[in-house]
Amino acid sequence: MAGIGFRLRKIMKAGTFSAVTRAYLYAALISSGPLVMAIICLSALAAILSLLGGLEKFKVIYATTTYIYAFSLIITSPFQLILSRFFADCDFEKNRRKSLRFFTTSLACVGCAALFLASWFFFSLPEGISLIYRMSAIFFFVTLCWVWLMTALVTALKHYNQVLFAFASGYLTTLLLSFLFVTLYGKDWSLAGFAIGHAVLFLLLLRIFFCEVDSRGDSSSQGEKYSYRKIFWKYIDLGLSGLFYSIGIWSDKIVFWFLSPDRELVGQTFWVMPLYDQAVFYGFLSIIPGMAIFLLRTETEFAQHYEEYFRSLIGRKTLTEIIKIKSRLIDSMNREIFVLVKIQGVFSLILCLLAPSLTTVLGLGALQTGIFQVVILGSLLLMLLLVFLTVLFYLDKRRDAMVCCLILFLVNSSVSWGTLYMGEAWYGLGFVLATFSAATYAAIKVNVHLQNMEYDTFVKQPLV
Amino acid sequence: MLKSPHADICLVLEGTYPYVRGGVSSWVHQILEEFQEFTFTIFFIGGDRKATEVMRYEVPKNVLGVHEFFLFEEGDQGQLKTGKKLPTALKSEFHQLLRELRDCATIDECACFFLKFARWMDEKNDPFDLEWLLSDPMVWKAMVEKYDDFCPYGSFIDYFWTFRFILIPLWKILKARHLIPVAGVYHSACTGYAGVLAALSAKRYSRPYILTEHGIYTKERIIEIIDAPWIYESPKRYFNIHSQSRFLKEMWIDFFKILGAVSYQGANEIISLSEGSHIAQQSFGAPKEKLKIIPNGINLEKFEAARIQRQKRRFENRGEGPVVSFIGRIVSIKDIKTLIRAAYLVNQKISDVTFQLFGPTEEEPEYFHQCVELAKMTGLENVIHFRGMTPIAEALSQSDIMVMTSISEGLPLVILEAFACEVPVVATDVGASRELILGNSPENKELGSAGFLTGISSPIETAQALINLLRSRSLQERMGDSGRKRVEAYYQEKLIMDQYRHLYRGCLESQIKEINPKEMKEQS
Repeated sequence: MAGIGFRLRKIMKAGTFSAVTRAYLYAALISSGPLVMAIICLSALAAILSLLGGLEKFKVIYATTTYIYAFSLIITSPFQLILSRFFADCDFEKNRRKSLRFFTTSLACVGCAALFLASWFFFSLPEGISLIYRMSAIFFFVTLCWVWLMTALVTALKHYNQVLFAFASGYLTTLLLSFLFVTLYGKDWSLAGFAIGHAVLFLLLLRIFFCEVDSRGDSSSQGEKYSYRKIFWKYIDLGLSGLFYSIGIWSDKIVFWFLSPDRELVGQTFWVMPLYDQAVFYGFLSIIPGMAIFLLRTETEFAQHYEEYFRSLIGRKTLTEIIKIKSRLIDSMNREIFVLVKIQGVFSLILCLLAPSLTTVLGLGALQTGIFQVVILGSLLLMLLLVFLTVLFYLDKRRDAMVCCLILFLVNSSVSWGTLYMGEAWYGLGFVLATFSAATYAAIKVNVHLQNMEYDTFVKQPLV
Repeated sequence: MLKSPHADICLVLEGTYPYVRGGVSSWVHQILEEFQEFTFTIFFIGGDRKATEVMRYEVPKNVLGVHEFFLFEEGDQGQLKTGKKLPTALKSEFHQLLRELRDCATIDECACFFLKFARWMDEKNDPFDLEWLLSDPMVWKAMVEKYDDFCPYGSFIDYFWTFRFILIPLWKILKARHLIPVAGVYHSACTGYAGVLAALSAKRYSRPYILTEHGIYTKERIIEIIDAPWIYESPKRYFNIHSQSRFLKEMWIDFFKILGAVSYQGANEIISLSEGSHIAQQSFGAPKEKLKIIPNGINLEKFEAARIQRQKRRFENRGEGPVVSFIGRIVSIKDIKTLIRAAYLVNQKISDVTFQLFGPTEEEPEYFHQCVELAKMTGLENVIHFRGMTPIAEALSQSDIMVMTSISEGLPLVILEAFACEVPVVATDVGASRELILGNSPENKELGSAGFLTGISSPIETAQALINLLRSRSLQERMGDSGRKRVEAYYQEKLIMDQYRHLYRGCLESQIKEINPKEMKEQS
């Protein structure tokens, strides 16, 4: 009998049981970690400056810092998610070194863009601002951008202690140097302290990153070729999610800065609206306990169940068992969200009730108390949005996550703009409605995708 | 490769001529050389491109073109892209078809459904792509339903991949009907993918389809699957609530049975080489009225010189020991290991015997290696000789006895060739061996037996038969003589080829009258 038929064996050799990709993404941390840190810094700065002789005296510094924080977060946001996703991919392939070139290219791109933007902006400022101020602002902006990129990467490594240490050292340096410079050379030198402090922070984070990459390096495939642009475009929906998210978070403030009739011009350059900004910043800080619970509990819990789910697929389980494990995942998610809402809800409620006395301590007025309370509610919703976004990223539904962030941005900017006409009583509504609608959309999507989870995982597999 | 215009006969060949040697390929070559009055095209279906690097035959001039088609190409490994989507207007029809598929209970019903589905695809002009098919939620649902009916206790991921590995080549075959050239008759040399494609093309152009089966493809695949280590079986336990550990193998087996049934349903004539395959074909669902037996034949003149040379050598007898030879590819289906074990037993009784194994060794290098090792382990390095590719006549002239231990055979030409040279044969009782060695009709049987039949993978039986023959030179002469007479009477090439000529003529003449307008369109 001649060679009729070929060897079936050859077909199965491709045995693709491992073709399950995992989309690790500490989305919540990456998109909100830096934001929370920025706001803590700004609030701390405000507090310290008031101690040093009133915020009035340091208005320009405060406004500059606010702008630098806001815009550095916005311009780095597309890179943060793409970079950490690519790093997660390389990590999954057990080839972290592969990410190095991508990392350095990102640093260079962001650095150049930041340098260009900051130079253009700070050198077009009107006369009367000293060169040292301009230079240190530019330097500060660039290092801050790099710090955000590093944070995105390092948080993915989950070395919270080291990160915490880096931030503590960085900010201590900032504080001491600024204080030193201001007393020695005058106000104009304060930003130099910021710049150097952040450079220290950046270097410390860089060290954490390189230690980690080297510890599990596989130098053999270091020379692997890949195109930066291709990867960037492959994950462009991630990049856009990041961008929309951070613009979305800042858009109410930006709308108020540039369109509100009550805005103030500081140092002939910066439009600000202290009435709104400070209340919003303080209110936003209420998210911290929720974030902590999310990071330490919810996310871990979800990651565990998610892994168990994939193990069950690869572990040759029956469909009934797979669905059982999936429903366990869904149950645990429901439970965790409930816990989160309960704790964060109670915390927010207490804060709202205490708001009048709290705001007096913080030096805010009655109108600001209202905004403060509304923003606390918005932060609660933002917390939920982050939970759902994280799930969407886990399920690799990048398109939906992007739409969700786009909703956040559109609703926040348009409604905030509307509230300017509706009157001061409505201030903050934009943020609440935006987080509400984005969270609702995300929840609906998460529900659909979890229902179709096994269909999605299988049907998406490469052909053979 | 040559692209051909309209040919009389399109041969649909799976993994054989002109790239792989063997019985079927020799037969194809014989047909091509014999029928100079017809034009042919060859549609070769292979696993992957590697198989077609070297042409093993010189293709005759009446072949207008050789087309190659591969079921598994390297480009397949990509991510799913969105392909042509099924238009909404056709969705309900498609879902109706899915429901029908779900209700198919038997192999024949499934085959029937497949032909119907192909017709629907023809009518609707292939309304969707594989990518759509694999990602449509309704298809997924149907797949899960089948899983729940069929193997709810089996590993789902294995079920899923088996489903895909079955579906993708099948889909490619379905698409290949656009590639296959128009011809007067479609003729395939096996069922399987080639049979399905020939059946589909014949239906599409309303042409007759002739199926010639040498071995029984379905049976061979089943043998292959049953001990395929790459198909997952869940571990066996004593106490078990279900017995679905082999469900993946069952899936594959059912699949090949369905392919067979599609070919049988689509064929106008189903030809087997022997009584045995005739019965096997019926057991796999071939309708009795379509069946016909046309054995293989050989040209005796080609072996005349070898016969005389052999006689001379045996007469002179220079004191060399007797030679037992095997002629064929060194591959697992030939079960060479049993042959080596038998050789060991023979060697213990008759020490001057040598075993010559003639045939290409490169097809399954690993198996060949194992055989060499086994020969070494049994201390037979000087008894068993792997001679590699050798002209058959030359091999036969050196042989006293021929031995064959195959697990599966069609009608092995090599037995006829051995008979032509008066070589007695010891062969396993598979395919047509029985009727070749013992004869089928009463008058044929009277010619006497031309050797011994043995059981599959039974070294003891093979060895015993060989010892009997080796010990009696007169028995060798008598059996060799019977074989020669049998070939002369029943298996001469000319007689056999006339039957095919008749068949081809009949098929071609029936449609010269009506030239299909559809075909004209396809041609342009």
